[in-house]
Amino acid sequence: MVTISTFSSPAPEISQDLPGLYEDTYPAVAAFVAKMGGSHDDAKDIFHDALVIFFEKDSSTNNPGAYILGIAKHLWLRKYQRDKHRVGLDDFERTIAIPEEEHSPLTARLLRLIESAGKSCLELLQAFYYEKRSAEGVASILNYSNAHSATVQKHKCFQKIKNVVKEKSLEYESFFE
Amino acid sequence: MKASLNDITHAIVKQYGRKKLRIRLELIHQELFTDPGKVSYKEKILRMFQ
Repeated sequence: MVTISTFSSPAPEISQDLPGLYEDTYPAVAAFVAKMGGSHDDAKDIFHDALVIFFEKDSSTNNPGAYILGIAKHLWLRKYQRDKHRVGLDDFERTIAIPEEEHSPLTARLLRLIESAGKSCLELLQAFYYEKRSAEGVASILNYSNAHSATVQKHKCFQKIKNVVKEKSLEYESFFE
Repeated sequence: MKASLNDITHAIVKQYGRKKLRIRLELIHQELFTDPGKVSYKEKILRMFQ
């Protein structure tokens, strides 16, 4: 059986001021990880994981720093259950639910294949679906003449990648059962 | 349960988007910790781990 996470919970567009958000919110996560006895590399890894979850889940909060720190604490607890008495979750942090870890060898394998043959389509599709950009935004950053042509190309690209998936599914049939 | 072709295609796009985001985060981190204008920031963070 394959469980695949798709875009059932749309994330808002990824912040344009990502460097600013990074600089502002990293110190609190680093301080937490240091307090737990982790290394600077641990802090960076957990912070990056937390930011990925933040953008995929719900980045519309007006206090991103608190949200990201809360996610980081949950991630730390997931990794080190032994610290559950040391990690103080406040009321807000207790309400944060983080998704299960995803490991799909099938998508990883297909992605490697498609990256070598259809990177421009992946760029377009991830701008629409992952970064949640508007058609106008996608047209602007990827140099399409207008939003309509970006949208038309999106449908073509989706079909193209779907066809590769279909073709390869015959080879990787065991993954679908 | 069988994953549909649409689901798998969306999952591939998500994985690609996530990979791009992680690369972007790594670049931001490297820039932040090598920028001469951010030395005090870098030192403040590194002191936490001493």
